[in-house]
Amino acid sequence: MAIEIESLPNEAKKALQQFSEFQLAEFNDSGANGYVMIGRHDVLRKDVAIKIYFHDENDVDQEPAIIATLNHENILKVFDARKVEKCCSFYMMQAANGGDLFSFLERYHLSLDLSYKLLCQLLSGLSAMHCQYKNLVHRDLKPENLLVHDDQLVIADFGSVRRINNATGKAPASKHSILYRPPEAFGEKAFFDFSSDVYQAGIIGYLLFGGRLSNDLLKQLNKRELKELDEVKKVGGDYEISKFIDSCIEKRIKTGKLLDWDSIPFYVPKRVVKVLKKAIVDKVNRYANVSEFLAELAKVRAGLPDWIAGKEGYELSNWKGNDYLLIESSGQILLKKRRHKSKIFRIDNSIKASDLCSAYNQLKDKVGLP
Amino acid sequence: MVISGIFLKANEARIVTITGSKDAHKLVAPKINKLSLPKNPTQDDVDVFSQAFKAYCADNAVDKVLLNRRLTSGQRAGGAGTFLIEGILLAVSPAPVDFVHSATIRATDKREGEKKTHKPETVDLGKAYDVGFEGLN
Repeated sequence: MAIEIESLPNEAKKALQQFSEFQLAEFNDSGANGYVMIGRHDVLRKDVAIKIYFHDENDVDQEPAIIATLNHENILKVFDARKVEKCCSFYMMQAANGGDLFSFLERYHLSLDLSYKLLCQLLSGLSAMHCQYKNLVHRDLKPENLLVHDDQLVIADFGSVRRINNATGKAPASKHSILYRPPEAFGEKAFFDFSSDVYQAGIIGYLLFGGRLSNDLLKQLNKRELKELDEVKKVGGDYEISKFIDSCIEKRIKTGKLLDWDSIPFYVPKRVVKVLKKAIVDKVNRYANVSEFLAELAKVRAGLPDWIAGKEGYELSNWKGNDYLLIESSGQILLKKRRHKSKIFRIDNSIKASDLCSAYNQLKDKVGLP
Repeated sequence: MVISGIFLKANEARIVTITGSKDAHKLVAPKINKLSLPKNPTQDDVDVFSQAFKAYCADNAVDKVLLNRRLTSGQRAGGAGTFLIEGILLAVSPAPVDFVHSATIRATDKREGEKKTHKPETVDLGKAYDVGFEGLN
């Protein structure tokens, strides 16, 4: 459906006036601090996105400037940047056909292979920001701020990027997205460093491999906390309520109980989960930088089975020349098997189980899965 | 200068990174000492290996990479694994790559062996350290 330019906010109209060669196809105003327009650039002959954002009058427009200094395939590319008004600017960047990672994860089931690849790409992009000559920390890594283009992950949204202080090795903590804040980013001496980005990348790894983390903060609260919240609601206003919820989340994060590791699908190898867990522990025991995280991931790469959870069931592709499919049928788990790339699955009666986990364990022993 | 000494063996790259001079130097990022490439690697395996190596160089500000010179013939000729890794490192290394011959290392051992104060005890890492040591001034 065509978008009526007249219905757009004034800033978007002004930005479009500066780009007659841009054909608007999509308008998104769900962002916290601006709008995104996606469309076709007639001269560049490619799809581009225009991000319009608001800032203080005297603020340096750091976002496009930072992106322009980074040249890496997993970091968003900026083509142009201009001012709309004193407190509003926009920049033109590459458009991602897969959208942001949050919607990508909601739309698709990811294979283990793709999950692994996307996580490595995220870390690879981060290493370009962390390198000695840049010394930048992102501070707001979350699925909504990462884009997917042709199954390739691209780091975006550089609004909260800060440079690490060379003397202290730290940057001020960010107050963005409490669920993704590492333990060291709370309290009076809150700070952020390279390992804090590693922590956030670890949470993204957890989500990529199928772990569940609801953005609804109330869902993170247990029964006792919900009862206490009711009491807070009786005497306090919005500020008190939000402060109470934040304090509960903070407690979860500091005690390492935010993530439910049992929600990771059964087929993700334990050694991969172990590597992910080490990225999300307390700062002392965590990987100090992305290269440590990547090196550990590279160690567990060999022989990674290519599982995917689909509508039919759980499919393992090309394991020693065969494809396997675990499906549930009238209370029993069935195993189907075929030669890789052939069309028809045939039932394999060698596995009998009533639940997925025991069927998986039998299959594991049978075909030598890690 | 930060020098990464890499000893290639089978399908592994043993890494020891050092900085300083031959007289006074220290190890850098000793937690990472190995990058491996699966046997019969796929394109994705090579991608991951490259990303890990590039990230390692970026995080530790590596200025130069030194590799052990592989023998191409004879009984101790390098195998396919080291050949592949050598090719990948040459293609993707963000820092200049140079080779060190085992004869050069033996000569240094005779001349300046006592300066190798931080040599790791494990054999392969010791060899990676020897390779890296050649890059120090």
